[in-house]
Amino acid sequence: MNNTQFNQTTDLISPEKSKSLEKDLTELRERTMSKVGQVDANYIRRMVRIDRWSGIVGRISMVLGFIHPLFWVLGVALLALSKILNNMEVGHNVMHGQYDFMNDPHINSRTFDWDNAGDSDSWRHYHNYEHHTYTNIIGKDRDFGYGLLRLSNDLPWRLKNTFQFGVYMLLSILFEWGVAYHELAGDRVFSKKKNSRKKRLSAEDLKRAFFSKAGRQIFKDYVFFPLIAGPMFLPVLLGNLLANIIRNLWTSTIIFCGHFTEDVHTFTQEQCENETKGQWYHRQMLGSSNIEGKRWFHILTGHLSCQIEHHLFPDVPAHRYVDMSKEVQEIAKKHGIPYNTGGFAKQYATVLKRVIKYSFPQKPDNTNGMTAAN
Amino acid sequence: MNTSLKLDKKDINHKLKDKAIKNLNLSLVNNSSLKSYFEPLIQPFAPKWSTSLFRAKVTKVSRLTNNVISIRLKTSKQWTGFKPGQYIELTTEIEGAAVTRCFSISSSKDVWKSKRRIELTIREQDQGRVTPWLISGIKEKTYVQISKAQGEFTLGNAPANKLFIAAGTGITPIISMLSSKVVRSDIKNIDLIYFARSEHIFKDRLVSLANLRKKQNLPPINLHFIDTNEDGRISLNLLKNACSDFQDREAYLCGPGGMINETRDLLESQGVSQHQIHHEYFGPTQNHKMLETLSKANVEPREVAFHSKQSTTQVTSNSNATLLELAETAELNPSYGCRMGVCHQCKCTKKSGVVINSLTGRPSDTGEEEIQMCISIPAGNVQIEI
Repeated sequence: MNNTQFNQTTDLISPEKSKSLEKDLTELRERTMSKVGQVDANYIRRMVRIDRWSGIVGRISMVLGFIHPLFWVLGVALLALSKILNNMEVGHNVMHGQYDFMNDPHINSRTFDWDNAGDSDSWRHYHNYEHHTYTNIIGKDRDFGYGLLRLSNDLPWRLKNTFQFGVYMLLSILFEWGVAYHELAGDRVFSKKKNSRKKRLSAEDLKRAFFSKAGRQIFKDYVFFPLIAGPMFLPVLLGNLLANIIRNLWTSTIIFCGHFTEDVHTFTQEQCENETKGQWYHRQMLGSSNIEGKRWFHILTGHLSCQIEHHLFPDVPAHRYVDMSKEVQEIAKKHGIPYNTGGFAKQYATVLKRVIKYSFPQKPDNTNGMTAAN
Repeated sequence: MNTSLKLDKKDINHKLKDKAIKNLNLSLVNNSSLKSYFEPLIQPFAPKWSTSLFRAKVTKVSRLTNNVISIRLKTSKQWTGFKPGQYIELTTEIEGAAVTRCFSISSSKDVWKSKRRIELTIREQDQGRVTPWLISGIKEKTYVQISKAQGEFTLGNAPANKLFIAAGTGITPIISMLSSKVVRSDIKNIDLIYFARSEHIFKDRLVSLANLRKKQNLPPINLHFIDTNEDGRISLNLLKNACSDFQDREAYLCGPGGMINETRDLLESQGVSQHQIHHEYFGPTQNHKMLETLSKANVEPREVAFHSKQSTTQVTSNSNATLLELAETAELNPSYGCRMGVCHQCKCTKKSGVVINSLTGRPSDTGEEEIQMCISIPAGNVQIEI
């Protein structure tokens, strides 16, 4: 392990103490899962319908922009809404297997495809498995900083980090592409130096999936729909681009608020060897942060505003997180674990602060551990 | 040679076209089929509309005995009909989860032709998940999904004399055959031996069917109602008394596995050839043949490895549990449907190892292949990708 003196990682609770934390959270999970049924099936079907209707109406409205520009504006807004719902409340959650209990061939984690540049199958592997298992373990969770940003002292400072605020802005605008590319780049799919790790999907598979999905998405938004709009080619093309960018900014912002707020902790690989389930829970709670808001806000974030609950219970239907969060907060309090939550403005401000803070080298920090706590 | 080459080319063109359409759909709506993309949008307005299965409206639910109900369904125009004796998969939603079970059609084909109406007769299975719910909860005027009619248990074209042997709800496909036109005129001799514990469902309907034939001067249907509590199970004596020329009949057996095996053995021992015997298993025990094979072949513990995208789970089996049951005990939440090898919802890839098909009793190849977990019992160590 290099640069231990800069280590910002946090100690996990002892295996003994972790038992009672595990018990509390497992009970909460079981209580919630016993309620899952018709309500959840109806809910996700409703979301699917809203996603599709707003997409269809949005695309048509955009073409009607020749009658009045407001139609175009409305169209862009609806298409962006559709893409946001499709990616977050529907896609992300369905692909986590939250709704597999429905036995519905079209709302199934094995088959679902989302309106996003990332190939679903590859994403499922990296996100569900790597990010959710190794959350915030430096060197294992590729989503920590996406290989582009230095967001803790676990990584040594380099000159390029000085410009990382600009990189962050660019990443947000191109978020879907950044994520799609980065997941593969991390596996050296595009480089000649191959990763020796054995994987379910070979580098060839991943590469083929990336290009075929990217091609399909580009064809849809920048060739097919603009072309059938005839004389409205350019407005539709720009509208689609704008809708994609709005979705990118929104998802990027919400996700950064979930993992890169000021008080989110990081961990080392050594720490997490032979981790107990209770310690895993502890790490998930320290590695995530919530955003408070109204119901519509939670829905638009795909309930990733309840990132802590999502990381504790990734396969519980997400619309139940808001209710669960009250009990999770009590459990956190009982076990003396910080529960990182706040309004959107507050949380996002600390994200920006963190991105800027680690753009620059830090003075060595003596408190090996709870630097970021409380 | 030439024609087969041509066919191959056509086949390839067809496949390419399908693939292109699928890719276009994936591109435009992120769904491999346009229909299934629009389905949730259209269904609230047109409840009969469905992409994969056919929707049918429940028009009447009636109780025949305290644990047998019959459900009348109005089928959609698209539904392709059935041959008497066939079954359908019925899919319904229980607490948000789609569940599929197979049921034989118990109504006449003529009724369907004139009124687009079919009837299913369902007995509550102890410990079953679906049937108790169906019986207690199915509501008139709601919609269920049904598949195309399936199954080989149908009347052949030859006007050979028939011997039907039914036990319990095994009467359902047979009453459909008997009440449909296909058997009305050209078959000389029809006998039905019907076993049941005290209560024979459809007794009245069978009697009036027999009377109707008499009135129309058609060859009769001879009905033999056997109460198993009093008269016991099938025996040579019983068979001879009911139908002395049984060796010359085409036999149709429908009931639980034990009854079918027993009857088949009896008929075969009396020189009835295998191709004269048709059968359909009913009820929960369908694994007799396989159990024999397996108990002879293997009783030792076997290792099953389930590989998924996220992880690998090892399960040791020392019973006749299917792969689906093993996966469920390991809490892997596999997707499944009918649990009897029909609907292919629980398909997975077997990477290596031998499984026994619980329906046929046959062992599989050792290599990689697609299998259905609900009817596959590991015969040795097996690697599965789910």
